[in-house]
Amino acid sequence: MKFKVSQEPFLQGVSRVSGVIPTRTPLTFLYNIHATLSENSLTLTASDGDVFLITTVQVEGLEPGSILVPARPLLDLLREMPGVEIEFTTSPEQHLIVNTSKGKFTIPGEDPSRFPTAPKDWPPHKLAFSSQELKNILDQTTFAVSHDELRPALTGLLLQFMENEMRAVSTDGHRMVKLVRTSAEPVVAAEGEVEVIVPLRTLNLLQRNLDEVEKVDIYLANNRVVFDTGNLIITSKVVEGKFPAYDAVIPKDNPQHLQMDLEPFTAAVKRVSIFANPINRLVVLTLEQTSVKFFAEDPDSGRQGEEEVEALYTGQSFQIGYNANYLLEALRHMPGSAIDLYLGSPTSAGILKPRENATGQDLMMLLMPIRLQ
Amino acid sequence: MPPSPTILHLDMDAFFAQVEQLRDPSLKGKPLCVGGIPGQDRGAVASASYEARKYGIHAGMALLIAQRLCPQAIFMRAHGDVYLEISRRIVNILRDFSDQVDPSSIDESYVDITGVLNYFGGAETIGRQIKERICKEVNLTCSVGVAPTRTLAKLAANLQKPDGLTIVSPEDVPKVIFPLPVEKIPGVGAKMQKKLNELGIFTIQQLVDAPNELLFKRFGENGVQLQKVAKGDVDWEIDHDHDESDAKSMGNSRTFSQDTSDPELLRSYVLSLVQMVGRRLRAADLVGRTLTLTIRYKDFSTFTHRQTFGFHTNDENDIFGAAWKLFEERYNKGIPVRLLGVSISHLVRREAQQMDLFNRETKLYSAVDNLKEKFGEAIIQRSSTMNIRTRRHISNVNFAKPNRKDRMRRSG
Repeated sequence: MKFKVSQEPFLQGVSRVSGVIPTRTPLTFLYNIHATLSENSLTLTASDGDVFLITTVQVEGLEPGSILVPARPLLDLLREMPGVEIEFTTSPEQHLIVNTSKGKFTIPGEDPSRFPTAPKDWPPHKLAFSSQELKNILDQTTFAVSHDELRPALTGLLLQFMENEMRAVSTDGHRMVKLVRTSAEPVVAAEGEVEVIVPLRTLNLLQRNLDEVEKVDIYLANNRVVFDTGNLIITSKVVEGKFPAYDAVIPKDNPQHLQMDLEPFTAAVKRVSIFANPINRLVVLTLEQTSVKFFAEDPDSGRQGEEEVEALYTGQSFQIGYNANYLLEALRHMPGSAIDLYLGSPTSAGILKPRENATGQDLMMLLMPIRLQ
Repeated sequence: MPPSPTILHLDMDAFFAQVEQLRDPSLKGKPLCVGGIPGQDRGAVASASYEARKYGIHAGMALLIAQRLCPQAIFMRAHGDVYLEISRRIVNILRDFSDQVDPSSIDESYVDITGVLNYFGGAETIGRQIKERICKEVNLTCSVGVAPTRTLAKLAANLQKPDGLTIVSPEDVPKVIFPLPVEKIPGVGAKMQKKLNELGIFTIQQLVDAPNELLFKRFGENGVQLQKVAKGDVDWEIDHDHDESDAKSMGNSRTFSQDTSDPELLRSYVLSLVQMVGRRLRAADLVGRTLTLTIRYKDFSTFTHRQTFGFHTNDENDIFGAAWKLFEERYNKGIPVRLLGVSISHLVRREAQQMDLFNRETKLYSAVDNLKEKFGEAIIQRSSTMNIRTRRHISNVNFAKPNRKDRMRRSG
């Protein structure tokens, strides 16, 4: 294999795929990048065994071929040679030789056939998103995905595609986000509904790439999902297991209604939460007709914080406790400047909604309280 | 010859009640019951002050009955986290005296002081110093017993309460211990006492003198073991791979009247133990992270197996799922089992717990617990534990009385 390329596009390509490379793995061949040259197209692939990242870089192809080369030294070298024209060749003993006008660097590679091959076929269901649209969806939902390996079905984002509706749902059992987007045109082809649970890691890899591109095509099958951003293909396993019946835990009747401006609400929670018990992060909300009071204390240190914020509240006065971290995370991912909080009882889920949703979008967050004494 | 063992047993006097009286001095000298949900008359007394005990109130008694016995008594909810913290401090004090401290429950510990007797100047001095330090540093009284075995040390501590210190040297055992009624032996419950009485055994002396064959014929291995325990020759089996750092646990164990290797039956036993532990955790408003499963085989060999959850729980499904998995992995199939134990440690107060969206059983559990507290253990059961009663397989030679303070181990 032999090709010439300038440093910048090549570094971009290598960086784009190397995010998936595991930091520690017994499968040492996964530390490598797989490169295949065909005419003037150099295809770079990296993987952690479950997720494959594939990108193509345009080069001046001189001799087709493949190589498996460790990503780390290649990246380190490329970063240190800005603007340089580089010639890459592979030696018969599978070394990658990097030649510039002044230097020569040798990186021993491995037999390219050792690398797992990414699934080639494309899943049948195709959906198109603008990258901004997808970015918003992910920003508003992925924060609530669980990290608990004991509940595997919750470690990904549920994507459901119905005829005229798309839903993204995430939960860790303590909070939940449900985002519904409706559209006039059918979302999926007529063959029916599709749903997958996309692993958080896959979504994080996708998110890093969304700023660079305009649109994303998603291809779905029951066991696999492929994201094609134009300059990067992510093909990933999906989370196996049954996502819980999320609609069943959404309270139907939460009669108490609190209306608040997002900014002062968030600021007050932030201040008061500094004084919360570091273990349960409990902040107690006392709801009155015209205000909401926040209270937190850490009995070990004797620290206490209390603040009152104006709000419009309809319902009976009562108290409810939340983990400040969950509350703040929910608020941080709320669009707009005003929110509504609908409450049932001190031991049932509260529903948080933005006052105004983007067109065709309905966002709701559910927050389970901390039981008060 | 190595020195004969010297074991110290520490038992906090009416622990929860004493702590509450400390937190609110106006409660001092008054009949006080801690536990359950006062106001709703639900639950049982977890700890009764000595003033309340005068009226016949004891731990495990339903609130309604306690209220009837002593209407002027003060009833309050338990504050599990406070007790845990104080318990931790007490164990730390004990560790200043010996590195072999084995906390058996939130308010009881065993300390092996064999190796430090000379250093501190004898059992009595150690006992007195421990009591003084606990009095000074946490402001609570306790009862201490010292004897050659754990069982006798506990028995000794029970002899003088509250605020007692009882030393029983090996030479004193026949003089001090043997005249006592046989039911004083920790581990002898009401039914065992009845059976022993039927054999004409009323005192420990009579148990010690009883013919070996008689005991074997009536109680099997267990009877012979009981005799040895009474003499102070041996202890009930103790597992020594017990991690001392997880002092606080709640557990139940059961010895079967007939050893069994029937998987169905064993599964039912594990489940019923889990239910009892789950209920006690909920009654005390605690959740725990570590499960310990104890399996004692026919030959008295005892093994403990542990599993730590990624979260705190008192959910019977969580606990049973892990307990049964452990059992299936570790049980030597086909070998008859004589005792099973389930305990949960690394406890924290449940109020501190974040509620879960998908835990649909919370309400169900509290309803079941209330039923059981009112009408007894048999009122409602999982269908899978029904065969336990119908086969009449469980003897009462155990500590597993619902709502009694933690007594996971036979010795403690």
